[in-house]
Amino acid sequence: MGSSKKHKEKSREETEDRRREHKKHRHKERDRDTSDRDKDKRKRSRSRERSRRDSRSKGEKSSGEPRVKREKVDLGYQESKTETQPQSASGDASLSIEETNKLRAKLGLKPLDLNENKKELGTKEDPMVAETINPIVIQQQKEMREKLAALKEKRLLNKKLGKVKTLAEEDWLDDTAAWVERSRKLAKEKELAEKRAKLLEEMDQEFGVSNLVEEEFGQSKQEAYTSRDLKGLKVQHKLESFSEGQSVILTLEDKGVLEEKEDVLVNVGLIDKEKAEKNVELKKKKPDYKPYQEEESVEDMATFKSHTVLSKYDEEIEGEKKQSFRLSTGGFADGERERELQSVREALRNQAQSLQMPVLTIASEYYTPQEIVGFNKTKRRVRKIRKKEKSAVDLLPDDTRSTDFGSRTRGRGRKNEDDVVEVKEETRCTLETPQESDDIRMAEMEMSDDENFLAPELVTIEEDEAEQELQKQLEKQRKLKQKQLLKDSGEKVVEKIRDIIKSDDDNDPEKKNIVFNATSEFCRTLGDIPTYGLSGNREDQEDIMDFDQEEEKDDVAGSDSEIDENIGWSSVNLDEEQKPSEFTTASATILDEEPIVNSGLAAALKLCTNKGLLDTQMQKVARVRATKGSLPNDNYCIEDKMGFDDKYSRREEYRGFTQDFKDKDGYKPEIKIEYVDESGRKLTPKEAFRQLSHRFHGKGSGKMKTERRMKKLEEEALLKKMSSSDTPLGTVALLQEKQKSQKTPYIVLSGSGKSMNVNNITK
Amino acid sequence: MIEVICNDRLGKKVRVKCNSEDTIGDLKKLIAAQTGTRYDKIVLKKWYTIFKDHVSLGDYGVSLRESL
Repeated sequence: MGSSKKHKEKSREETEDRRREHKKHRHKERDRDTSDRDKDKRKRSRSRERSRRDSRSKGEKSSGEPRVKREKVDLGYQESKTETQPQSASGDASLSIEETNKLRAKLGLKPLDLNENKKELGTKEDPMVAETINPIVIQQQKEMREKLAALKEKRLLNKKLGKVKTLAEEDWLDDTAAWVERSRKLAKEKELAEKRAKLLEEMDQEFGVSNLVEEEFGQSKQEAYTSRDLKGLKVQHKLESFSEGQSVILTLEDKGVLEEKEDVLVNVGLIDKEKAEKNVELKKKKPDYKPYQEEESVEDMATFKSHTVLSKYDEEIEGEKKQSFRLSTGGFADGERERELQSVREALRNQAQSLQMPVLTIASEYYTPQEIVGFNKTKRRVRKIRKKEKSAVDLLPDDTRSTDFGSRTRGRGRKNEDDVVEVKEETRCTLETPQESDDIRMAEMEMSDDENFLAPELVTIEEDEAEQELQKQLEKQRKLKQKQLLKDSGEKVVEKIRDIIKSDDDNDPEKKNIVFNATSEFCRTLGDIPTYGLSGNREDQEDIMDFDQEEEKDDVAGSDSEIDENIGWSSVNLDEEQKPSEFTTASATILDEEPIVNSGLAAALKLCTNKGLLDTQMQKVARVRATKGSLPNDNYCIEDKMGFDDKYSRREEYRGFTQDFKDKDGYKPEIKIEYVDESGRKLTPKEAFRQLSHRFHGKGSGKMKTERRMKKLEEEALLKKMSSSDTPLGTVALLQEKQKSQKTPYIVLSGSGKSMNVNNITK
Repeated sequence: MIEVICNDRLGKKVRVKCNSEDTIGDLKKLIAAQTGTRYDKIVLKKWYTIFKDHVSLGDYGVSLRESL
């Protein structure tokens, strides 16, 4: 800093000097050249001194004056031109060393180095040989130094090692006494060492550090760890995960250093397995929320643990619950207790009543066999037994009797049989007592039943028996009625005959009962029935009517009743020949109309025959008087006679057959009309229509159209000609031809395509 | 100790003796003292490389006899 200040001061001084110098120069500009030259000289040689003097003298003066800038170049130029400066041999103006040193001192620089002498020597004029740096010398020096250092080290080592005796230097062999002495010395030293150790120990004990020391240094006798020590240890796995005969190594579970919990034994593999299972379960992504899950999931003894809300989070909140068991003495653990618990739980659970209702089923429409049993009457059994017995006996010769085995048709079948039987019966004897016949019939029925029994199935038997019962009852009723009727009729006939024979001239015009009948009234109004009031006639007629009635009621005995009637009729007829037969017939016919209402077709037919509508012998006068006059016609309309002339109405009317032929009902022909063009081809509907229209209009298609049509036809023809198995050019055929000609199984493909033309293929 | 020759191409040739540890500025001053120009007017160059004032000659590699 100081130097810098100095430097600054110096520099200031210098600048001032410079200014003065410049001023000086300025002052004498004209003479500058010469003066300059001189001045320069002086300056160079003693400029500093002068300037110093000048500065001292003119210091005050020049300070105020302003600096004047002078271009150095110009100055230099002028100088260089004009003057020949007295310079050194090199042509440069140079200061001597002393001067430079002075200058430098002024400037504040170090004086020049000592080398200046050499430098001076070593100018351009006299080149001096510089000192050569000798690397070899340097290396040598280095080596020397290293060697010296090494030697030094060696010396030191030797000094150290010199203390230790080598084996070769041992001299115990020589002197046993010395050795003895040495050994004694050693022993003593040992003792001393021991004493020292003891002392140290005592000191340790005093300080209470002995235990630690012992632990550190002493060997503690470890106690044996046997299975007795395993009592009560907790194993954190399910008891079921250990299988018999399997040896599993358990280790202590990790726990924190400061945790005060008890030790837990685990097996690493089992832990991993459990984790894996858990992961699998999670991966399955079972739904967390099971709305219909029953409450049975976890139970303790008999109670069911109810589901808590959001039970899936329990694990997260409370921590995972792990199943564990404890080892008993000797390290055993059986599942005895657990199994007992489990069995107890099961028992309790089974005892618990379930609230489930019995499954609802659709009620069956049919009685079950058990229920049917209740319907049986006790009688049944007796009958059953009998029938069974009978059936057993009668089964064998049954084949010929009847083929009617079905129970359903039995009723009808039976009926038929019964009819037949009855007919037979009647023909045999009409006046048998009904009871007998009944019995017989019953018996026959029974027998028929027996006949029809083959398989003594309880159910069918019962059904049949029920039906039989029913049928029997019905039959009974019917038979009774019939018998009654027959009886009545038979008796009545007899009676009638007797009566008729007896009382022919019974003039009892009026009976108690006057029967008014629609038909009878009608006939009356007709007018020509003088025989109306006749008692005999009436009675007879009535009787006959009654008789007819009764008879017509019985379809069964139709034929018989007819016969009877005829007999009666003929008898009556004979008796009433006096009266005009026509009247009788008329009256009879008229009065006979009544039965139509009650009875069926047979009666109607009878009437018809009586009336004479049908051609029978009885007919005498076949005409109906009533039809003489014109019958009043309800539906009467006057036809318009003008409405059939005009053509329009005539056009609409169809005078042919409106009905299809009945005999051609089955005739349904399949109509297919095919149109053909001139060459015989079948035409499509479009083409057919075109043909038709051409013919209709009288002109065909134009040029283009016909050409196109022709082309199409030709193409179709070509298409048809084309073979299905070969190419259009017939290559396969060609190849085969070639093969044949060449008599080789192969074909040589060579040359251009032209060589394979049809024409070129030759041998 | 180095002697440096300065030539201003106009006839002034100056030989300056200085140490190698001297800075250019010092050299310039010396030159100025010899040539009569102001030292801060001097621009020393060696083939277009201008020598800066704060750097020593030795750093510039100016050895025994060199012309600047």
